[in-house]
Amino acid sequence: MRDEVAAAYGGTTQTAHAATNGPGDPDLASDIAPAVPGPTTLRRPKFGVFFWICIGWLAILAFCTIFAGLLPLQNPNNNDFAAGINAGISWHHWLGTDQIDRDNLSRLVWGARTSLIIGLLGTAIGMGIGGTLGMLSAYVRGRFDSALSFSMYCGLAFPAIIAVIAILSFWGSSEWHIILVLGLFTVPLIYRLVRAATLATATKEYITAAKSQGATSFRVLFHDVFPNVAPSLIAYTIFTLGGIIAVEGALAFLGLSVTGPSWGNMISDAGNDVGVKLPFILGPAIALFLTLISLNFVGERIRVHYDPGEVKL
Amino acid sequence: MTNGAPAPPSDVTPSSEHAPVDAPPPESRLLLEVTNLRTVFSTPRGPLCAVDGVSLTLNQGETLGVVGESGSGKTVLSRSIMGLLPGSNTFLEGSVRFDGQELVGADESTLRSIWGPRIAMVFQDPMTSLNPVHKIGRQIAETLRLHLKLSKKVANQSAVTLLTQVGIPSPALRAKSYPVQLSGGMRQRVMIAIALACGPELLLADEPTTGLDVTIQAQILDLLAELQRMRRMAMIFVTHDLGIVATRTDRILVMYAGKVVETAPTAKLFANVRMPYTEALLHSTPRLSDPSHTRLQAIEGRPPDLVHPPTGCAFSPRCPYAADRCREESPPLVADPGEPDHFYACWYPRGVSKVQLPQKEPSVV
Repeated sequence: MRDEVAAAYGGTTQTAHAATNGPGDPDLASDIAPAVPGPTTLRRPKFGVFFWICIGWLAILAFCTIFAGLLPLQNPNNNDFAAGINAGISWHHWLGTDQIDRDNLSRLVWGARTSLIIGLLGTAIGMGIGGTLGMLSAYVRGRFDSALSFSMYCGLAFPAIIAVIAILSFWGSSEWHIILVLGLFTVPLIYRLVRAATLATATKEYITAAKSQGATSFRVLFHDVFPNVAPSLIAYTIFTLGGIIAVEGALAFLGLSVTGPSWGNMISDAGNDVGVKLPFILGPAIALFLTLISLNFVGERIRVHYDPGEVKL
Repeated sequence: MTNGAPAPPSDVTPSSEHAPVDAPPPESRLLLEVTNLRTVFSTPRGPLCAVDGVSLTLNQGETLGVVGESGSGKTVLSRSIMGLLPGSNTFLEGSVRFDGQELVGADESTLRSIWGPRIAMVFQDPMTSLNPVHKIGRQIAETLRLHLKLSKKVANQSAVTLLTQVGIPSPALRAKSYPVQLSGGMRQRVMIAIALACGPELLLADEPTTGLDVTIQAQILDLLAELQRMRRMAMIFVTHDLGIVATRTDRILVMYAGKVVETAPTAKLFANVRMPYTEALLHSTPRLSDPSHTRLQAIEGRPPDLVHPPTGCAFSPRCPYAADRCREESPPLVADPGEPDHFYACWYPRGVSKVQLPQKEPSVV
């Protein structure tokens, strides 16, 4: 009977028995259900179609960001006087022109570049500083943790958007200033999340077990703690990316963002007289909306997919 | 052995050139000597003495069972011996000499070089003591690569060999599994494989079978005994179950409220229980010889609050034989007059003292 079962499953049960000649326990098979021969496969939650649509949109954005200079687009700052201001959709200007005769499509693509670069670099600052400090803080504990947590909560208590507006008005809003300021304001958010996740992981028995095998603190932190913190960190980072892009849009709408093309600038410019130019607002607005929803959805799916707690047998 | 025969094989010769002439034979080499170990946690309520002046010795290849109920300090004792306790609010006093080397107060890197290749630990809950994000083969191989500096390939092969040794079927396939894909018994086997990876001389098994069901328990215990015999490894077996240690240990140490209350070679302990607490533990264990539906005799009350321990004998509030002296003076650990290797901390030890209370008849439900 058992051999039939084994044969039905490709004979792995026999190898199982062959391997049990060790420490004198013939009843080992009771340890595993006899009908389950080899290791079961992990079934992680599926990503789903919508996830891949979102990834597709983000891929298009990434492509535009990287190759904006190589695409057959008009110069986003070039005034095409022949077309006239607020020109409608034409063969030459697929999305029309804005109020100073610039090509909307070109500005949309170059705007994607601005938004993504600010988003990515700002997030990198937040993740690098906030993530590292959060992990160290939760792992070292003690006074270091208390002092750092206190200063981070002070940072969180700051009304961030008002502070950002004040700083940028005073300091001037170049691309690097915006990246730095927005990045630094995400540090406490990421710090808090990573610290909590690290605290939850660092008290687990497998961390004690890793130490009991002689691993150094550095090794425990990066080899054992970090992989357990990473899924939530990555997911939250993607949300943060969306958040920074949205805030950049808001800053641009207030006239505090970069001087070049950005989605926020475009919405702001067209918003001066919505009645005439509603179609032109829709371009950057839809692009912004799709980007944010894609980032949020992708972040959530990645978290669920890689969360060890969500793995089903 | 006849006179003039060639030198007997390995069991006498090896260490003779290093060891002094009158050194004990290698079978009984002293491996671990714990003297007056105290572990104090500073808590918001005040200092908590979880291990209070424990002394013990362990020879190579020997097994010591540490028994006590929850909160008696047995887990803290095993972690204190290893030095594996959170640093900031823990204070360790006394001495732990492992193979002549002092571990209390040793610096981190010394301890780390000992943890793994010389002392290893099997943890209580196999469900939480494996890292969920790494494949088990890798978890075993990492230890090997860290301490024995094996190449990745050799370490992976050794990991599979170890999985075979601990009785995991199709080990090469299993090495590629994540912990979540294994049952509790399997995970505990993996934990044992990780602990044994670097061939430790001392294994601390902290309730290694508590999280497992009874049939798997027996398998894991047999496995540990077998591997211990093969590797001539010393083992400290921490458990609350006297039944488990009864047949598998050379010596038993009974702990209560952080103190050793009775210790003796296993057979002698079971033959002549002296300390009422040990007796109470024995009575609270079900026996096959009892008629069915026999009520177990639970030990009344709860373990004492270690921040404010009772004066006198810590067990006196729960002891059916406690007299005034028990509540006033703490009994020292003394040798039994009849058996010099049997120690107990009791003013009125069972079988010796005159104070006798009628033994409760087991009530049948």
